Amino acid sequence: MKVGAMISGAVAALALGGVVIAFSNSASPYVTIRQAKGASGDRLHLAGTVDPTSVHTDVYARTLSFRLTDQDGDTIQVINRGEIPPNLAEAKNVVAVGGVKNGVFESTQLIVKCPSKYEADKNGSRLTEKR
Amino acid sequence: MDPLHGLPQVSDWSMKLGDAGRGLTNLSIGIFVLAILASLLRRPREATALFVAGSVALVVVFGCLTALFVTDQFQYEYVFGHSDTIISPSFKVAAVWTAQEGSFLLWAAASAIFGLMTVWGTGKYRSAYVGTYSGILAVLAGILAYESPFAIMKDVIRDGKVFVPAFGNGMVPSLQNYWVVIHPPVIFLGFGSLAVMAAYAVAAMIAGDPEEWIAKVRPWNLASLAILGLGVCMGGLWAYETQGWGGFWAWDPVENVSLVPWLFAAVFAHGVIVQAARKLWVAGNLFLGAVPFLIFVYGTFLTRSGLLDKVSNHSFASMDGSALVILRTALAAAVVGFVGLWIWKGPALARSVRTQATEELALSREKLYRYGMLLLSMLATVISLGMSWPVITALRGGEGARVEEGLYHLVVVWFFIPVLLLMASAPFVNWKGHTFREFLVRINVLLAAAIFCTGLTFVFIQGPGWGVHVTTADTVHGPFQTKLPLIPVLAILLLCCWFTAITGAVRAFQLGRKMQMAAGGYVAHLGLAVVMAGLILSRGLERKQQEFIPSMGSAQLLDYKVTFKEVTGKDLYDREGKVVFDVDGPGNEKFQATPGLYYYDSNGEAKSQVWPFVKSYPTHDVYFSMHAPVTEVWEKPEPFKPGESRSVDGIQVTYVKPTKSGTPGMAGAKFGGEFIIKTRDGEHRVSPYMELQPGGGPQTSFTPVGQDFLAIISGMNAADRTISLQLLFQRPLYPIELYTKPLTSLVWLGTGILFVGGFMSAIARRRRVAARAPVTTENLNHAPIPASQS
Repeated sequence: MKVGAMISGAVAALALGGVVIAFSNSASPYVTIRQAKGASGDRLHLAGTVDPTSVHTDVYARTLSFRLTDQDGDTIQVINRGEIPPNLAEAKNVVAVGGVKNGVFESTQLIVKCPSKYEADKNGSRLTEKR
Repeated sequence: MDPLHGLPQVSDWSMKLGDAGRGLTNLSIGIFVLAILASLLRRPREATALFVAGSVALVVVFGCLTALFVTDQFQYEYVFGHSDTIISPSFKVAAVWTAQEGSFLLWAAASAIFGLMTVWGTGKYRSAYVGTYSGILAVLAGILAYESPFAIMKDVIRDGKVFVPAFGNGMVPSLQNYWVVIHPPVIFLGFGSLAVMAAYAVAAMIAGDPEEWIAKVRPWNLASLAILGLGVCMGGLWAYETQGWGGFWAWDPVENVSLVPWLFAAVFAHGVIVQAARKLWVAGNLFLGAVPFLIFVYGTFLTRSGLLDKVSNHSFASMDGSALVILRTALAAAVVGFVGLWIWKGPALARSVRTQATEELALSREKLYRYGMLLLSMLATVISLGMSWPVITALRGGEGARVEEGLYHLVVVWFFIPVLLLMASAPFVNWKGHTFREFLVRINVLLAAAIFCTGLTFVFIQGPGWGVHVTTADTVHGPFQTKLPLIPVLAILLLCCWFTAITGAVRAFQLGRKMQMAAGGYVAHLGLAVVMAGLILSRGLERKQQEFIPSMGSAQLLDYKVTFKEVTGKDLYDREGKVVFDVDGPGNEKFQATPGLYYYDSNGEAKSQVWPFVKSYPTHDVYFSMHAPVTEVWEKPEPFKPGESRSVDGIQVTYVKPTKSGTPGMAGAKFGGEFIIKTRDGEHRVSPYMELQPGGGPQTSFTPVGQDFLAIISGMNAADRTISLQLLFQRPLYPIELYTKPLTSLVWLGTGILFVGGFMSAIARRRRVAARAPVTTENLNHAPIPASQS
C-alpha cells in the first residue's frame, strides 16, 4: 500500500475517532424524571406526555408551563423559557431540554413530534359526528 | 344509537378497487420472485417481462389507493385515518403519503417507475439487473402486504355489510400546506432512484464487466443527485415556511436519512468520473454504487421501526411486526450479500482493468477527487453515526443520548471547509497533475476575486435595510467549550462558498461554450455553494425578539413597529383565518404580516393551529412566528376564602366579603364577592358575580379590573363561601417572535441552480449513452483549461 494512502487512512481513522469521542462527551442524554432530579446539566432531554389542561403562558415571565408525565408515570412541572413550537397544540408527546431547578424542570427548548407521524385514531368514534 | 345508522353501504367498485390494490400487491411479490428465477436461469427476456409486469402492478396499486382517497372511501382504515371530505382534492391525493403505509407504497411505486425507465437500457447487464431490482421490489411489496393501506375498518362492518363513514379523521392540520403535495413525491422519487445504482453495481459484478456499467449508470446517478438534492432542499424550505422556528435543518434522523444517501451518491458520481477518465476506482465504484441505497434502507429501518420514536421529531412510532421482520431481514441480507459479493468479485474485477497511471506530482485531479471523496464519505459516515447515536448509546444501557444541532455544526464544519475548497480547486487541476506552484498561478485570480467578494459582502450586509447588526464582540460556540469571534468564522465560511461559486461559474462558462449541457456539474457546484452561503448567513446573522402584542395594540420588535390590525375569517374555525398586523420597518419597509390562526375540534377540545408568515426581500427575510392568543392571566382559577389576601403571579388579591342579591334559587339571583385587586395600574375594588339564568344555570359576569383585566368567578363553595377567581386579559395577547434573516433568498436561488445543474449533467450523460459515444478521457466533462489560465 502506498504511503499516501496509509497516511490518508490513518488521518481518517483519527478524525472518526475524534468524532466518536466528541459525541460520547457532548451528546445530550435522555433521562426520566427520577434521573433528571438527581442529575446535573442543563441539556438533559426529558420525554413525556403533556397534560393539556395544565398548559399556561405567563406573559410577564415570558414562559410556557405545563405538567409532564414520563414513561414511569412520574410527573413534574416544566417551565419553558425558549421558543414555543407552533404545533404544540397537536403534540401528545414532547421532549423538554433543560435541567431540574428547585423541583421544576426548566427547559430552554421543546421538541415535538412532526405531525405527520402521529398515530391515527382508529377507534371510529367519529363515524357519524357532524361538524 | 347505532353509529352506523343512516350511513350508506359501500359501492361494489370501491371494494373491488381495494381488493385489486391488495391482490396486486400480493401478486407482484410472486411476479418478482419469478423474475428473479428467470434471471438466475439467464432468461433475460422472460425476466424483463415479469419485472415490467410486477413494476406496473405496483404503480397500479398506488393508483388504486389514490382513487380511494379522492373518492372518500372511509371504510378503509388508512383512508379514514388520514383524509376527510372537507379537505381540498390536492390534499386528498397528498393524504396518500402522509403515514407509514402510504409512504412505503410511494417508495415502492417510485422505485418501480425508475425500474421501468432504466430496464431497457441495461444491455449486457439486463439479466442480473432485473434479478437484483426484482429482489428490491419484492421486499417492498412484501412489506406492503403486511403494512397494507387496504384494510377495512372493523367498526363499519355489520351483519356482513360494509358501511361508509360520513367523515374521516382528516389530515393533521399542520400538514395542510402546499409542500405536503410537492415534497414527498419528489424526495421519494429520489429514494426510488437509489435502487438503480445499487442494481447496476450488483449486475456489473455478476456480469463480470466493471467498465461499461459506468457509462450506463452515470446519467441515473446524476438524475438521482438532482432529484434527491431538490427533495432535501424542499424539505428544508417546507420546515422554514411552516415550523415557526426560522430554520431549515434540525439534523433530525429523518432529515439525515435523506442527506446521507445524497452525500454517498455524490461520492459515487465523482468516483465514476475518475473511473471514466483514468480507469481508477474500479473496485471502489462497484462498492459505492450500492452504498446510497443500503444506507437509505438502514435509515428507513431506524426511523420507521420505532427505535428512534422518542428521539426523532419525524420518525414513526412503530410498524407492523411482520413487515418489520421483512425489512430487518432484507437489510441484513442485502448488506451481508452485497459486501460478500464485493469481496469476492470487486477487487478481482478491478485488477482486470488496465489503469492509466498518473504522475506523482504534487497535485492531480485524481488526487483531489480522492481526498474529496474521502472527506464526503467521512462526512456522510459521521452524520450516520450521529443519527444512530441514540440507539448506540441505548444499547450501552440507559435512555440513550442525542446529538444536537450545535454538536453537529461543530463536527461538520471540519469536513465542510476542506470539501468546499476541494470543490473549488479540483476543476482547475489537470488529470496529468502539476506542481503546487502551477496550481496557485491558475487559481490566484479567482481566489483573490473570492476574497474581494467576501469583503464586499460584509460591507454590503452592514448597510441599512439588510437586517444585520453584528459587532466584533459577537461570538459562536467553538470546539472544547470555546467561544470564537463570529465575524472571522463567518468570513472563512463565506470565503469558501464564494471561492467554490466563482470557480464553478467560471468552469461552467468555459465548458458551456463548447458543450452546454455538460457544464451541469459545475453549475451544480455553483448552486451548492449558493445554498450553503444562504444557510450560513441566514442562520449565522439571524436576529430575533419575542413580544406579546395586545389586540388593537402595538409593540416594537427589533427595528420593526408591529401593530395589530384585525382578525380575518368567517369564524375562529375558518382555515383561511389570519391575524393581520401592520409592520413598519427601517427605511420604506412597510408591509402587512398575516400569520394564520384557526381552531379545530380534537375530541371535543378546541385546539389552535398557527402558521408563520414570511416576508421575503432579496436582501433579507422578515420571519413572523405567532402563537395562539393568551387570554388567561393565571394558570388556573385561584380559590380565595373570605378575608384572605395573597399575591398570585405578582397581583395582590384581597377577598373582602361575599355578596348576594335577589332571591336565592330564582332567576336573576346574584352571588359573588367583593375583591380589592392591586395591579400595575393601581388598586381596584371590584365585585364579580354569577347570575342564575331563567334556564337554571349560572352565568358569570366579566367585571373589568382597571384597563387590562377582567375578573370572572369560575366556581363557588356555598359551605365556606370560597370563590375561585380567574383574571383574563381584556384584550387577548398575541405571542410574536420576529426574526430577521439576511440573504435567505440565496437558499432558494441555490436550490434552483443545483437542480438545473444536476439535470443538465444527467441529460448530457444520457444523450451520450444514447449516441453510444465511447467513453474516453477526451470526451468527458473536462475541457482543456484555457491557456490564459495556465
